[in-house]
Amino acid sequence: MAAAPPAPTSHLRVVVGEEELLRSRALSAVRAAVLGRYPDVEQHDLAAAGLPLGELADVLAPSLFGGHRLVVVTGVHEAAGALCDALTGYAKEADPDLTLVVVHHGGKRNEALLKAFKAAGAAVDECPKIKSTGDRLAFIRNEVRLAGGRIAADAANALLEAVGNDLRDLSSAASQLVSDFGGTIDVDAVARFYRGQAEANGFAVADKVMLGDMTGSLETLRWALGRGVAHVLIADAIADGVRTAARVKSVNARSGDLARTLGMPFWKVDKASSQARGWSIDGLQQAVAVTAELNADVKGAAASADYALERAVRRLVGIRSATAGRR
Amino acid sequence: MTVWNGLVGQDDVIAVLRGAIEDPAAMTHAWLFTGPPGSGRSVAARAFAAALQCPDGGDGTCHACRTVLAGTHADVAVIVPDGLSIGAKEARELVRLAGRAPSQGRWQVIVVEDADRMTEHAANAVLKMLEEPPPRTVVMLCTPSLHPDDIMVTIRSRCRVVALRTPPVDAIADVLVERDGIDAAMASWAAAASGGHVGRARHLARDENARLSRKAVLDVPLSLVSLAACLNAADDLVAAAKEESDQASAALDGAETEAVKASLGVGARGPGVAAASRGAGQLKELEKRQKSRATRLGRDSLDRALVDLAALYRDALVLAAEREAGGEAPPLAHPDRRADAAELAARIGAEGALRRIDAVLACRTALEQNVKPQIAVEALTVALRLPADRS
Repeated sequence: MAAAPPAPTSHLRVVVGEEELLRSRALSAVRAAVLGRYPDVEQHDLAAAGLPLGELADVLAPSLFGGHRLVVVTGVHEAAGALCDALTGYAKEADPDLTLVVVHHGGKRNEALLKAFKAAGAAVDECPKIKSTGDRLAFIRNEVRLAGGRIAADAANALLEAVGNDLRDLSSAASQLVSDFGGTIDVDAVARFYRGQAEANGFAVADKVMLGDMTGSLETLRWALGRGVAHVLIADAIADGVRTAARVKSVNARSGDLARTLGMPFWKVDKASSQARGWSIDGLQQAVAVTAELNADVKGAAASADYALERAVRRLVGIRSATAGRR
Repeated sequence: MTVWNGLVGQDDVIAVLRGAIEDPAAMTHAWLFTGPPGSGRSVAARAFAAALQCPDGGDGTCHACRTVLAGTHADVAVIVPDGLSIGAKEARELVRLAGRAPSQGRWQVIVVEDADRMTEHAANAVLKMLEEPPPRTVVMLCTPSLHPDDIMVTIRSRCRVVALRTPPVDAIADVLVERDGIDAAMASWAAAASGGHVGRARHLARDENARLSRKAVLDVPLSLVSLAACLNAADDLVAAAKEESDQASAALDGAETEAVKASLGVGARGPGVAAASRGAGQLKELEKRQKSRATRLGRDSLDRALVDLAALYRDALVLAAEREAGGEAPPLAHPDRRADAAELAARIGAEGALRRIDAVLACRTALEQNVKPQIAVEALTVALRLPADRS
């Protein structure tokens, strides 16, 4: 996980990445370190967008009174070309009495500036976007450990499901739980404070429907509706699930060939074929009809779109179990 | 040559309209033309408009006749919705137009093609005008039928109804030969295959691609032997409709956008350009209209395919009934696909054919209700799947 930042002694620093929480943490770590070494440091925070060159030159110029200075330029990915040139120029002959931190939000813009800083020996804090569930779970464990506790794997899962993918929320939830329960956090502890499914969307509903999980699919559906996911999106996701399963089931081929003939990515084919296993051709045919009816219903044909969705979910799961034995 | 030449096989209607022109007592201010698609509702309305403006009652050669038929007469406004619906805004504009006195002709004529596309608000705005019509104004509305879904009962009751019938096959074939110079064999084939739609018959007779896409659609029913085949057929139908709509709108959209941009002075140089080019709103409006039109083009093309499909199942139903009860069968809608219809009849029987016609009609309804075409057509082809061969 986010490794300890490089030793904060370098006077040129780059904080780069898309994850806002990690960026601000890296920044405050640098700030704390500089403050530790130079208690009376002079601090300047500048936003790069629309920053006049003169202002930058002003804060980068040697101070009359001596002493150390900390200059933070945020959002350099938005900086104008002239500003980038000025920063690059400074990096080549850095002032030993000044710590300059540039914050870049990732991406291709003004990448040359970052390269120039790295070439000039700047310390780099990478704050890449946390994308996979595994990484998020690792982040939770790390947060709990930093706060001085431990968390069981299933408890971390439950916390992620309930709080959602926002790192800041996860981090504050983790430290709150540690301070409430001390030591070890288990599923019950998480359940006492956090319930629900923050990331319930149409696809989550569709997955559960396709697996024939009546309770789970209705629960996820309610959560999704409660979060304000549009009815149409849920209906489309369900239709997509049924269609993909029908495709995969009706073509007898290995998954590699299947992906090619159907023009779908491998993971989708794999997921669909595992979902299609419990379905019969007959059941899928009926299911296609139900999804078409549902699509009309959520677009205004039904008096209540909520009810139409719930009814469709029940019918689909019912069809799956009623036709499972057939060919 | 008279203005009535464009109307195919509608002698009764022509007699009624002629009578209205000759005898002022038989004239009225609001007319409602109904008839199946392709029977010539809008042709009849335009011809009537020309005959009204013409000093000789529609000789087809004078200035008034020619300008009306070409759509450039100052006192004849033809409203052709190319989007999904006619909104209240357009309807109010129409009412404003109706309030004007005729500038040169004898009547101020307003023709609304596809009046069934008027929204409820639009219909109500027009209703007000029909209730208290300006003295020299004639309104002509065209709809497929008198069903309340097509035209509000309150409007219907204030109009004189002119019902066009499906033109006979011979009449269509004659017109194709005489007016379009198509050879007799092709003309009679196209006339028979068009289901009484004059424009479609002409299109089929002239355009190789139209014949190919009709063949692709009619090949569908016998190909539906497995779930995979059903899904593939649905893909093909939707893709064909999308391609047709893309081609048609690409041809229109580019030129339209360029014209609006040019009139807004986009890309021009010189003083005052910045002030003159604040037209993002207009461009947005245009994009909205173009999107609505593209949706409609796609739906229309899919709808044609569905009508062809339903007609083939109807042929199967006719043949199945003929086999069971004997007797003389009425003519088929797709005479050239008689073998296919007979095989379908043998495999699905009369009941199966009826169910499948129902499924096609349900799919048309679903498309009108804005169901995603992909989903609606998949559900359709799955419902059309042939029963497993028992032999």
